Amino acid sequence: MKAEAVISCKNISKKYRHFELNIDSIDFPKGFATALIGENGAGKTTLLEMIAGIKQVHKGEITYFGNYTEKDRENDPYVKEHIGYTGTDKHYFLPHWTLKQTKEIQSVLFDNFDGEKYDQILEDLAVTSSSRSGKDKKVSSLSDGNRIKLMLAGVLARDTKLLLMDEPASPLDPLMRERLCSMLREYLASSEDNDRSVIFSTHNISDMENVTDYAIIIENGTVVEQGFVEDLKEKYVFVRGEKKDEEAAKHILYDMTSNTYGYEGLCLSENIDKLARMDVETSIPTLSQLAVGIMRAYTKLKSYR
Amino acid sequence: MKHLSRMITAHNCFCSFLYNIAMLVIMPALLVPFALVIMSFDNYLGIVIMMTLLSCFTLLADYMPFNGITAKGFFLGIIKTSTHVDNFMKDAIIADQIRRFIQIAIPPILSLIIAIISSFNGIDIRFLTFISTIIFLNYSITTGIITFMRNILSNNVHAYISLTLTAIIGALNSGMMFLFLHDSIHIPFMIWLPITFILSVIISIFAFSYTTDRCFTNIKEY
Repeated sequence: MKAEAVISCKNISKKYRHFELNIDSIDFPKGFATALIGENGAGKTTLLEMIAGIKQVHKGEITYFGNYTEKDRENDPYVKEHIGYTGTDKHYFLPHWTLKQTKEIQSVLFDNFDGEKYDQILEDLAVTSSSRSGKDKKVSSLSDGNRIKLMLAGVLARDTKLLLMDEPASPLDPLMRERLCSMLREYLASSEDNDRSVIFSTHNISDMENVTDYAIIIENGTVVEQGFVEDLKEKYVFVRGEKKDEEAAKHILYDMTSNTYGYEGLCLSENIDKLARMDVETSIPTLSQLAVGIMRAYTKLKSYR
Repeated sequence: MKHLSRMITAHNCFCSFLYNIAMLVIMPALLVPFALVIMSFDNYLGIVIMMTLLSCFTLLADYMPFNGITAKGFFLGIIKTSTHVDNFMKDAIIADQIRRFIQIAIPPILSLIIAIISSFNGIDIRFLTFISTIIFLNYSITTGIITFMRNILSNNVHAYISLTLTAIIGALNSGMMFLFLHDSIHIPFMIWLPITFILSVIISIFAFSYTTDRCFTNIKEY
């Protein structure tokens, strides 16, 4: 499947003392939800912050909405006005702000912010009630989950074309994760010409699977796999086999884990014929199985090496 | 009017309602009676001690709203992602400087008004000039110091440096009192008012450009 890119990253590189991000090429597809998946410290947040313009010093280039450069992002209001960013930063909203103040400040910061819509979303998400006291609640008194809802309401109350969300699902309860997925689906579906896109990072792969169209797996600062989920599910097969075949299968499988009874892992579809003589059970991998398998193949965690 | 409202929003983004009450109401309410007691013995000494304490509290309190705003890695959260980040920060910093001037001017002016109403001795043109001069002097020093102190993220380091610098502010205030009171000094006292006024203007401009430059540089270099 081919799609126009909402964001293109080319030859991105950023060095820290103990970490280096090196991205040769990523084209985030326009009109879809893209999940950035990877271990802690893999570089997901750094990449999202670069795209959002929070971290501006790096090598390489990022193109926005097909033809805007990073310089345009700083000089042409169109780019930032059409990107909604939610981060993991605890001070995204300063703790002493009241909910009423979050609305006032966002009205000043973003021209396309709709205060009434913001109030409505907050009420729908049960962060506030219509009472006055609810709006005087301070950000510091909110739970982590409610803070995420507050950020979410902020970006959804704007007329944006792209949502960048760093770990939006992590602090949310299962019910709210499901609600988040449906809100993202509604957001994607709400534009007539299919020009709204979402990019989010997540560790909650299975919860976010039903909203993920495109997946990018990052390990140790580099992209190790990317593609539409449906294409990846065709590229890999999930295999379960018996203990007796483990040694032989080890050389064919892309990644493998074993226990007392047998083994399981990912196999490239092109290699599946090589397992023909073995007693194996194959299935289409879930996104979680895919991501974990691919991450395991590249991890620096000693227990997997 | 709309710009004023944006300025207040930007200011309140950093300075909470409680902070404003503490700085503009509670602090004068505590400092003015204290100063008046000392002024009943010596007008100048009362003002010097009050202004030194006021500057100390101003330095210490600035950590709460603006701690580390010009330091590398300071989180500006949502503000960083806005197109209006530059104007928003400029508004916040200008409003903060205006608030700080009011905060420093209220206690001595209130003390002076009460002293006049209570018919304290020695309220003359020299004392009025001294009060105006000391307001500008303390505003200049605190603004200058705060500008650099906003590079410090650690509360302990910030508090230690604030208290150390308070001793210097005390010495400068006493020095100004000396210049006003000692006849052996042949410099007309009136000259200190325009000098401290000009100093306030220069430091305000410097503080504004340094803070705005640094907090945007921080975003760009981080």
